[in-house]
Parts: sequence; C-alpha cells; structure tokens
Amino acid sequence: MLFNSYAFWLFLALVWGVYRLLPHRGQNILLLLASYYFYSCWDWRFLPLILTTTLVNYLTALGIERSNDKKKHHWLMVISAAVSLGLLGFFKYWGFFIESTAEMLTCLGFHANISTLSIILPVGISFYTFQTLSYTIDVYRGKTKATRSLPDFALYVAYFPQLVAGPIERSSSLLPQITHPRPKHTGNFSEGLYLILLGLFLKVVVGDNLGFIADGIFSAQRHEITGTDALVGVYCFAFQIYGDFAGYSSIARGVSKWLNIDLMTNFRMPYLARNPSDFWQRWHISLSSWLRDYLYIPMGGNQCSTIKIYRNLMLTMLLGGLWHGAGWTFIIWGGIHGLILCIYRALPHSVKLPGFWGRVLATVWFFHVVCFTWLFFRADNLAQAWDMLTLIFTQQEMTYLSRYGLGMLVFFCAPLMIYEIWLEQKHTLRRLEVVHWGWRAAAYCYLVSMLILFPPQVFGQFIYFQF
Amino acid sequence: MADIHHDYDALPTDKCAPSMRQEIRVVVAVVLFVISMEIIARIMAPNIDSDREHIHMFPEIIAESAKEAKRKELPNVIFFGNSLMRAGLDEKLVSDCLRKTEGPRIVSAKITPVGTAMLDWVYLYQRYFENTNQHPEILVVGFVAHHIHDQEPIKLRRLSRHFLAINDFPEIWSRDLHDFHSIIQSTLCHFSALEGDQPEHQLKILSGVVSDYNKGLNTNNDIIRAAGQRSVLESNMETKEQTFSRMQRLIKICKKHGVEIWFVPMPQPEKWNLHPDAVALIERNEMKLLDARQIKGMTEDDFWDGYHLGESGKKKFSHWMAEQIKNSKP
Repeated sequence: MLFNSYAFWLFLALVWGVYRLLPHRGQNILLLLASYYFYSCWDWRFLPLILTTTLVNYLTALGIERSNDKKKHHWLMVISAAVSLGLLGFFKYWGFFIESTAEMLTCLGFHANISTLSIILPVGISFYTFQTLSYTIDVYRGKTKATRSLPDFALYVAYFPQLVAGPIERSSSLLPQITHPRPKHTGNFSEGLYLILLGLFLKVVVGDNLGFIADGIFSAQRHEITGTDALVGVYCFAFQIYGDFAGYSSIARGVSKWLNIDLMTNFRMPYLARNPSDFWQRWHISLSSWLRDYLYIPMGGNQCSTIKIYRNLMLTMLLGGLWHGAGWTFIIWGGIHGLILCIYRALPHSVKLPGFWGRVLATVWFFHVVCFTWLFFRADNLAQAWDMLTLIFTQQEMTYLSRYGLGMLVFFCAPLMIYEIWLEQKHTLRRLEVVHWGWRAAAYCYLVSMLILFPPQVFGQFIYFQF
Repeated sequence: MADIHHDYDALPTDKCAPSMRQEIRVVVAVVLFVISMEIIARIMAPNIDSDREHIHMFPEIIAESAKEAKRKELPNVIFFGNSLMRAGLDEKLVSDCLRKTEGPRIVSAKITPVGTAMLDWVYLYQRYFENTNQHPEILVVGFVAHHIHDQEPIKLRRLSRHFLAINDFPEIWSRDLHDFHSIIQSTLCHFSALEGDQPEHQLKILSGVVSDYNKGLNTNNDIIRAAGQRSVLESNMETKEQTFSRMQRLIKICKKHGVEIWFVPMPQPEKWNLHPDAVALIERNEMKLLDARQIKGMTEDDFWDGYHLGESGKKKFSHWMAEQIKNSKP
C-alpha cells in the first residue's frame, strides 16, 4: 500500500474517521491494528519478524530496567542487538555475504560452489531495526524509561506512517506521544495538509518523472549515450532520490500531524548544503543523527586523536553505506562520503569562500560532489559507474536525450529549488503557513495542478522501501 | 555545518498557526480551481488533437453511415482499427475501384482511433455500436500481432474516458482491471475530462516548453524497451503464453448481432507471424481472415515510418481491399 495509491488514502480515511471517535487507549489499539494491516499488505509473512523484534526488545528493555546488575544489563543488551541485527543481517546481507565470499574464493583460485538462498528482503526492516535498537540502547544507557505496555511499544515499532521508510524515530520523541494522550494543536491540520501536498509533489511529480529519465539513461549501453546524457542521468537521479525519499518522509509527517503525532524532520533543503557536514544535517537527518549518536560518538567521535577521528568518520559512513543496501556500490558510496568528510575536515577553515557568490559557488560545487557519489549509488555495478564517469569526462555532446532531460529537470525542479532558496533565506521550513491564505491557496493550486497534469508514465514505487 | 543554528521546524509563535477556518478557505479555493480546470478541459476536449477530434465524431460517423446504408439499402462496412488502418486505407479509392471494376456498392466509414488494441475495440464497439443498436454488416478489423492478444490496457485513461460506457463498468472491473488503483483511476477518468485526457494535456505542455521533448522521450523509451528485452533474454524468462479472450469477446458480440468480422492482418515491411490460436479462433467462429501481410508489389518504401503505410502503400492496400470486397460480394 503505497502513499501515492488510492488504496492508502482510502485506508487512511477509514482509520482517521474511527480514530477521531476513540479515547486515547482505543486510538493506540486502532493504530496498532492498522499498522499491522498496513505492513501485511506487502507480505503477511513478514509479520512474525516484526513481532519477534518487538517482543525481544520489549522484554530485554524491561529486564534491563528491572535489574541493578550491570552484567545482566550488558548481556540483555547483547541479546537484543544480536537478535535485531541478526535478523537484519540474515535477511538483508546473507546473500551478498555468500556471493562476495564465493567471488573472493574464485579470485584466489579456489573453486567455490556455494549455493545461495533466495531470501526476500522484508520491507522496512532496516528502519524498524534501527528504531527498536535505539530504544533498547537508550534504556541501557538510562536515558529513557522502558515502557511497560506491550501494545504501546508495539505501536512505537510498527507505527504505519513511518514503518517502511522512516523517519527513524527515537523513543524519547515518539514513545511519550504514544503513551500519553495526544493534545490537538491548532495548526496540525494545515501543517499536515502542507506536508502531504508537498510530499506528493516531491514523489509523484519530481521523483517519478525524473526517475523515468534516470532509469533510461542508467539502463543504456555505453554506445547508446554520450557523456552529457550520462551527466543528465546523474542529475535526474539526484532529484529522483530526493523527491522520492523526502516526499515519503513529508507524507509520513503530514499524515502523523493529522493523527496529532509529531515525527522528526528528515530533510531540510539538502541540495543547498555547502559542505559535507552541512549536507548530513539536511539529508536523511534521522539516519545521520542515529549513526552519530549510536556509532560515531561511542567510537570516540571527534573527542580523540586526528587519526581516530578520520577512522571514526570512515567507519560510520561505510556502515551508513552498507545500511542502504547489500552491494559494493553502496559501500563505495558510503566510503566516498567518508573521504569527503575527512577531506573537508582536513582543509583549513580559511579555505571558506567569502560573500554571497562564494556561498553560491560552494553550494553548486558541493551539489556536484553529491552527484558524483550518487553515480555510484545508482549504478548497477562498479563497471557501469566507471563507464559513465569516463563518458562524462571524455565525450560531452548534446543529444535529443540530454536536451529533453535538462528541460524536464528545469521544468520540474526549478520552482522547487526557488521555493527552497526562499525557505533557506527565511530560516524556516514553515514559511508558507504564515503567509496570507491567498498565497498559500495559490501555491497549493500549483501543486495540485502539477499532480493532476504531470503524473509519471510509470506508477512509481518508493526507492527507500528496498533499504 | 550551517553557520547559524535556526529551528527550521518552528513557527515564530503558536499564534501564527493558521486556524481551521482559514485553512478551509484554502481548501475551498483549491477545489474551485480544480473545478475550473475540469471545465476548461471539457471545453478543450474535442480539439486537443486529431485523435480526439475523430473520437468525438464517432456517434455522428456511425449514425450517418448506418442511416445512409439503410437509405441506399447497401451493406454498411466499417473499417475498424487504429492508425495502421487509418493511414493505410483510402475509402474513396476503395469505392472508386469498386465502381470501376463493377464490384458491389457499399457504404463505408472509418473508426480508427490511434494506438488502440483489442481491449479498446471491445469496449468501443459495445459503447458506440451495440448500445445504440447501429451494427454494420461488416466490420473490417486491421491489426498486427501485438494488437490482438490479451494484455494490460495500453492507454487506460483514454479507454475509460472515451470507449467505456457506464454500464460496462462491472465488466471491466471484473474482467480487465485487476487492482484497486486501476479501478479507481479508470472510474475517475471516465467522469473527468481532466483526468481522462491528461496524457494529451501533458504532451502539449511539455512539448511546448521542453526542447526536443518528443524525440528525447522516444529515445528514452527505446532505451528502456531494449534494456527490458535484454534482461528477459539474460534471465531466460519464459515468455507468457498469448491468449485471445478479448478477441473472442469481440467476435461473440458481433456474432450475436449478425455482424461479420473480416480480420485483416496488416502489411508491415517484414512479414510477421500470426498466432495460430488467433487463426483457429477466427476459423472456429466462421469469421473471415483476409491476409494482407504480403500484398503483391508492396515494398519497404511503401511505409513512411517503417510501420505505417505511406501514400504509395495506401494506394496498393486500398486496391487490394477493393478486390477483397469484390471477391467477397457482401
């Protein structure tokens, strides 16, 4: 059940209609049942997995809180992590691990005939595993209290708007909103409406239309495209993945607003970033902050020797890459981001470009650095990434395809980028909510007309479901 | 890191949050805007492109043809199909040939919406011929291989808007659309010109503002199609067995009303294979198969784009058709 399908909106309308009539406890039960139904719409066979993760983390967290024995805390934490990461590792990385081992053995001259299992990746497993893990770690660290209500905790794990593609919520933020009655806020309806319309626009209009072009260019054989086509393909993918993922997060937040639940902001004008650190505070914020709090800082963060800081940055980003998918292209993508972070850290502060045009230049330059990393992220394999990179630097030639791609990029992304620059200048994501209602109506008319007139040729899945 | 920290998610104060009443105003404005778009789309509908012009003329063409045939007491022949038949057949030339060769006199009309296939033809026939009880004596259906076997609707929006009648909804829901999204989409398109004609509006706008839109889009489509074929070959995927249940439905409707169908496999630069199951179906139902795949003297140069017949090909095909009509003596 995709956010851009009629089935989802019918489902939401039914849930929302009943939700408004129920008291707090009843609302939670309804949301839990709706979440499990939502999840089983993909494949009911995944339900035992999410139930196992829920039960193990619920019990271990309770065990940690009820005991004063540090050793027991430690072992319970290990069990929780082993089960959660074990399930994630098996379902997501087993095939990759076996295939890579077989390839390595073949390279070393051994005849490896290892059979692989054909394992289906349960949708959203990376998201809910990280979310439950953060809860148990927070309880272990004493930062959060373990919840005694299993249905409340189950809802925290399975809450449907953010279950399959985030944002990865923290227990300190989401759990209290589940355990306590949720007050209605004046602006929730308008903020929800804004986030849903913006999200649908990002997904359906920007992401899917540009994804169609990116899919074409990335599926072409080397002789079928020029370097300009390849470059346009990378630009299109950059906006496809942004539209797709930011769109999902935005709809998830909007739907939650209508249920009086606040989810964290996951994207904040990422292509206006001027350096890698800035970028990671704008892109997939819930994952980057998770990696910072549960991986980078525990490894020492930047409170250690320079070499160790670089090591920490590289390891965090490599694991971040691996989180996205079981493939070498993702690991290399993470590795390149780690390197970029290290290089920018090594640069002296005086390298900063001064003035308005300096900032513009830094933004445009860094957008291209990010696009370079997207090339590896999107490519089917390293050979393709290298081929396209070579084409980009050796064979620039405008074709019908590149002119069409550039035209589509300008048509769909220019208004979005102008809007984001305006938000950036106003230092808020919610500027549109405080302008005169007529301006807001005009903006919504634009979004709705684009949604009606420019849906994609091909009905698009969300990319991040596969992660 | 950003130079200055701002709370990007916060409103200046809670009082700044728009009230429900204000937001209702916004929603009403958007709804009014959509209604006005729908009205404009309905006004524009008959003139969006030549295909829509043709589709909007269907009731008139069909009624006229039936009336004339009745008045003159001549057989009513409808040349049916898509752009292949539209580009390939010259009705005037056919009747001139018939007159010169002292062949039978007929009344004819062309119903040839572009890019249509068997599913469209079934519903089109039901809506415009069966529902109005204006059946022709002969329905000449021109096609190539991919038009007649069962497949997903090529253009669901147009099918729903222009070929589907309200009383056909239960049929399309149960037999041809298998997911909830398509069912809703189809229903919306039937009632809304904005939704139903959306691809044409999109094409008009994008080809106006994006340079080389059509050529670039076609290149992209070609690349995706070729990649799809490569992956099918690489994965050794078995191609799905072709079925012809929709063709059977068209035959059944026509048979019920005593309409004779002449199935015409259309000429192409290279001879193509007609599925034996389709041939068997035609023969079993005692319909006619007039094979135009290899008309004598027709060459590659007779096709203007490698698919549709050009002027010279049109002449050859029309002569051939006149000969078939003469021989069949309807």
